[in-house]
Amino acid sequence: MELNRRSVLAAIGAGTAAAALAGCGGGASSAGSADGPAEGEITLLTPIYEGADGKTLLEKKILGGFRKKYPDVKVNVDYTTYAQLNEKITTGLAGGLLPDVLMMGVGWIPPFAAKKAIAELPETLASAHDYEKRVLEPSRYDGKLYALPVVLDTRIVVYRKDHFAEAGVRKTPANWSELRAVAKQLTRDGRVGFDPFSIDLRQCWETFLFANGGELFSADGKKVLFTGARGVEALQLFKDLVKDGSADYARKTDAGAPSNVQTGKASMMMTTSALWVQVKEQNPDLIEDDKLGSFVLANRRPAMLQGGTLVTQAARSRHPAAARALVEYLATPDSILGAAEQRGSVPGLSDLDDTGYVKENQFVDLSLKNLQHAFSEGGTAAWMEIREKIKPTLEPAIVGDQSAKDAIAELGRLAEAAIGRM
Amino acid sequence: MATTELLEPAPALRRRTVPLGRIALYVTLSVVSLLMVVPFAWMVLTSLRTPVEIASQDAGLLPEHWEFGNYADALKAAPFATYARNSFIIAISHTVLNVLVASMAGYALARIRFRGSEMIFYLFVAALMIPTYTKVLPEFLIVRFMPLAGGNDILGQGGSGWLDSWWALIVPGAVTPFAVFLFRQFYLDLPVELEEAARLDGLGEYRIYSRIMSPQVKPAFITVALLTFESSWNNFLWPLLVTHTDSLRVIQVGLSVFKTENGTQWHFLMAGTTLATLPMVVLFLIGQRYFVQGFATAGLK
Amino acid sequence: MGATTVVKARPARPPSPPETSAPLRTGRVPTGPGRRRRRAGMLMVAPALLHASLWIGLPVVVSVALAFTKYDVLTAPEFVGLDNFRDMLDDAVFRKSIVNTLLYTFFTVPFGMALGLLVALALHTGLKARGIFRTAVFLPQVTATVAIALVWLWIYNPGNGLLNTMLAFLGVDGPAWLASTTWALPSVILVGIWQGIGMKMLIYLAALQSLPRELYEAASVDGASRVRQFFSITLPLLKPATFFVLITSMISAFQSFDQIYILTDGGPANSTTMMTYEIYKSAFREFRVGYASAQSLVLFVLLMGFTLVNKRIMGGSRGHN
Repeated sequence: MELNRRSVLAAIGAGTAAAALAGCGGGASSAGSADGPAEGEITLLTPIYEGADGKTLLEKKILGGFRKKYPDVKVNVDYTTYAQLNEKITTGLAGGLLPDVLMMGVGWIPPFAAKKAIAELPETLASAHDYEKRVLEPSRYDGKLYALPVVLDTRIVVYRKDHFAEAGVRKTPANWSELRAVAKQLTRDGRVGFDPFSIDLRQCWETFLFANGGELFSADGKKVLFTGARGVEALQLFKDLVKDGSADYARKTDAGAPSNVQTGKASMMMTTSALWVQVKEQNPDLIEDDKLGSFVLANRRPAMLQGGTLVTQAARSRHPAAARALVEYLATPDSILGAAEQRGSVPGLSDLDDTGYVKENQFVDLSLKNLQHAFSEGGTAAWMEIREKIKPTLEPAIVGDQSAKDAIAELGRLAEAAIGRM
Repeated sequence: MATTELLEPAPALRRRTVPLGRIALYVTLSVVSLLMVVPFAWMVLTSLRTPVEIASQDAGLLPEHWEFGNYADALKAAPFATYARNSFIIAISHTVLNVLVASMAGYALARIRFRGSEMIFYLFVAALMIPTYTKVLPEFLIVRFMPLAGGNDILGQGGSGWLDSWWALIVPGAVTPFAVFLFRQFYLDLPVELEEAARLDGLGEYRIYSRIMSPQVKPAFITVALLTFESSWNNFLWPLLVTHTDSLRVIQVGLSVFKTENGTQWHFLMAGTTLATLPMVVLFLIGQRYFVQGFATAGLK
Repeated sequence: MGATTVVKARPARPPSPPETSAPLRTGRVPTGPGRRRRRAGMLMVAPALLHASLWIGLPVVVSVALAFTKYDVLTAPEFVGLDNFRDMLDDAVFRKSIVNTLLYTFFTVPFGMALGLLVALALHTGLKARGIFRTAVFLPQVTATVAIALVWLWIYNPGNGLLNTMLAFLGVDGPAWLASTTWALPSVILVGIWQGIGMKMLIYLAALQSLPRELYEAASVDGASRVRQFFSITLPLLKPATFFVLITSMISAFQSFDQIYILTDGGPANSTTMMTYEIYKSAFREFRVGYASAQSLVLFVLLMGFTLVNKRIMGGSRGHN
């Protein structure tokens, strides 16, 4: 049967297979010069600017302005979703058809830069706008700039002012021992004092690691730094909170359900800056009655995890000058303010801090004021692989009886193996 | 329902006249049906609520105000008319092609012994075992390097092949091993006298297949048609991967605009999803009625 | 309604192959009809076979080849021999996913099949409103996965979920279900059974339609009880359909992905991760396409083994003849 099938295959498809495999070797060739005039037809792959509103914003407003500035460039937009962005990029890369300009998440730049799939940007772009130094960190690999931030989403703590008043808590916790005490104080029947688990455990632990003065990897991305006491303490804190009864992994917010801080099932909660828009739509009274407050998690230092969407340029663009121009344009203050407003995100430029949108959205306002405390995940070429291991490897310490030390050590081994494979 | 006047109960259960048993059966079926309907009902009810009510902890079972406006607003969020048309073209093409090609193959594999027929059958079964995520990348590459298409040369280089075309949306998913397997199992059971009589009457193999045997397995045709339409209508990943023009996108891609990284607009998502589910429910309601008729005509001697 | 008109129109419009099927003449050589039949058979299989060869066969060849490479999509595949398989031996999570997949299959397939058949039998009667019942049972098949997931998340919610609220009435303190390493897999299995009943019922229903009623009439005359009729007539006649349902349910149980993706993301602590989920993660989240191909190969070999065992137990796919 194998023979039979093979002969059929040989007749119809062997050529295709060979071509397919041969075409896989994408990235290696060098980027064309971006110095020439910006012209030609380019493609933009984006997981944001969703829906009819997003489309109008991008194609009418932002690209309308772009066309005025660069009349010889035509931009085709390929909309995708964040959930399928990886599939889209994987197939595009394998087929040698990566779009000229791509938007991707924090943490993705080093893997792509290490494999030369995306092009280096001139350092002048890093100072073109009023960037907080830390904000550009996820855009860099090996000290060089590869991307520009478009919108940010930060991980902060949101709390219920009414619960605080009721329990007689006057100020937000400034370190973990205060956090633990306050959480205990706020816990009541049917309500947990602190819910750190309603965001992904990976991002949650990272925020605590950074707040505890820890780091994920060495600057060159080759060494694992989180296996020390700082990382273990971060995980241990979760165990302690659970033991105190003031946090409960099983009662994190379900997908699709309103968040625990909205429903009052938690008094403090780790969440993203984007929660504001959701609350405004679902529980406008919480905002009207000023019942929600927010603060940046702190222990040895304040730390706010920074996620978001960056724009970058493919290494193999046929019109590098046009692609570069688009990257620059999508990252201008005007463009990013529109994008942030459309999806409730943080426009990551300090000089946008007195715009109406930022003033109105308290979580965004807090985030912008604390950009100097922003930390990012990633920083190693092996990040794609490691990021998938974090949650399942740390979970046994929280839902099972594994010790924090063992779980972190196991994660360290997996991360080192992944880096070794690079 | 109109189906009640259609024919006879099945022989296996017909003689049962004890009303108590009947009642028990109705009660059991009602409970089972209720368990099956809950998510669907929840979807419809959510589509008629306001965001405030969805988030509310003490919302009643039924929406307080029936927000039919959600439907109109949801439809404005994306060019759904285009998306629905595209999905419809793809689903109908898949259904027609699958029913024709797979039934022929299933028939031949069930009723005609030729060299390698057994082997070919098991190849189809084996083909079922390849997970989507294993196939998707190579399939994408075949589409992209399709020779002499979309500016490609004979070696498949230079252009973009079938990407962003109807070919890519329709051809790769047109015939499923699942349908071949199902048809084969249904043709298998037909009495051999049927085809022998037809052969004596001088009918050729294609006629025996199309005129004599296929009408006997009508329920199989309906089953394959329903399932093919359903999976094609619900397909999301493949159409997203192989297209980039908005005018070629499908309804499931349209629905994804309500689910963003920064939260989901549940009232709109459920309104859109309800609308997208309706064609399949209607098709099933119509299709299942033919099951009885297929039985009625099967008794030829 | 599109599909039904298609079905109706079909017999009137025989498929494209040329009309070589002129009436057979007895005067021709004795091998003639047989050979002609065989050729017709091959021609009828050809379109489906060609399609599967290109769109499944070729991808399989490519992915078998990739199983022996390191391929991250960013650089060309590099031959690494058996490295991927060696890595798999050290991969405790993948081992766990194999165990979970086997458990999931072992529970969903038999229970799902039995329930599907029972419901089909109940709905294969002159019951009033059977169309409504049939549609209700089929609904999970067409309801959007996201709606299904949200409702089950709510049912399983440890705090105010339906299940634990009901248990509390009985004085039982329910577990954390999807958040518990012990209960997450059984919870997912229950959803799998629930969701699969519709499809199994549909196929059994279709198969029940084609049973020759004469046999039942004869049996009734002989005075056979209905239970005996079921075991001595219905069940044996349903064998081809049962073989089909068994094999396809097993394959789809092995490939279950959606429930995991939406309900548990494989957690907590990998207690619900499945093989296809690991394959997906390796290929599309971690960019380890070569490794994912090797994992797929293991999945395929396992499935093939189980299918052969089932075929042997069922006495071949040809059923009763």
